[in-house]
Amino acid sequence: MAVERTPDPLERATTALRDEPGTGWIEVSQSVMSRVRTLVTPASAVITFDESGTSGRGGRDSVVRVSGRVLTPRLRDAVDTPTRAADSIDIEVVDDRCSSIHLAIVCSYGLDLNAEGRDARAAAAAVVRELLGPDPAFDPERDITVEVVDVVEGDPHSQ
Amino acid sequence: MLDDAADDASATGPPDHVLVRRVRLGDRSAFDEIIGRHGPGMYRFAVRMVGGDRTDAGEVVQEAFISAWKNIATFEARSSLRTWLFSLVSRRAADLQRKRRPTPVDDDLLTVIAPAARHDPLQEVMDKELVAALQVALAELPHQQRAVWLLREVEQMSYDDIATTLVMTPDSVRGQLHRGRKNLAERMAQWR
Repeated sequence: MAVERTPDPLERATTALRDEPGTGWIEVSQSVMSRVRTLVTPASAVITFDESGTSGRGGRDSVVRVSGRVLTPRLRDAVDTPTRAADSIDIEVVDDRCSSIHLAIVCSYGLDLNAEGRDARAAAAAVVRELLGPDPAFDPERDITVEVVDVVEGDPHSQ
Repeated sequence: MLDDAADDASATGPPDHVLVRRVRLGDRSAFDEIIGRHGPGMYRFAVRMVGGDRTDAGEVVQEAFISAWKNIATFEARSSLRTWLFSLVSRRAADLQRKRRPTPVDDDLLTVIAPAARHDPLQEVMDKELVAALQVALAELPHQQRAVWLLREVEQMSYDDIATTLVMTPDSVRGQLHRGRKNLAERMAQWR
């Protein structure tokens, strides 16, 4: 930390502060990341259905639930493509059931947006089917809505 | 240019708003990127806000990031991510200072206790001593004056960003900065 010998001591000290190496930051950053990883964000849990379309709720079988914390990243991964990025994913849960999903997406300029929307919906529907099973009340065509919120030049993941 | 400093952090990797979007979609690695990008500046700011104690500064920054993680869904893009994160540090540092010891709140107090330049210090003063002297001087400033001075002179934020960070008007920022510079110059004069 070399301080230029200007006549003004405040200026010299200020320069030294600006150039100061971040002593201790590495240890702090590891601690912060570890701590944040232990935090659980609130999310609704959604009941799942077996192949016969029953959830076990109200019967003797146990009910299996999947947290929105699991569902959201999986939906994001499914919706994302090199030319399409999820902007937001809103999962509405009513009476422990996934009643609707709203996908907001950003697409690259020049794509067929209608086709992108249909493809995003299909990808999301596959995730719902895989994670939650066949809820007889959930109709992907009706209950998954897609909105193209922006069209960008280049990579939609970096804008 | 001072006002461009905020954008420099995003020079590599996705811009902040993309990282925020990814975090909201459950991507924890994006939050790690935010920590890596803004953490060093926040930590440097925190160290000077809490009187140079690095353990306290680490605690302040950790609490700030925990708050950011919990509240990122409600973060509004009206302010930049950087100003939001620094505002969290400023608040946590103020909380900590309130717990530890009283701080001056009146500028008149500073005028009274400002030391005169009594002697000629050694010209070849060690850099560390100079920084330590500045730290002592900073610790004597009121919280907001100290925060304004650090954000402008060390973190090189614009007046508008400082105003957003500290919930002040840009005119108040200018006033606090003027007083902070004057007070610090008086305290550092003995090092001439």
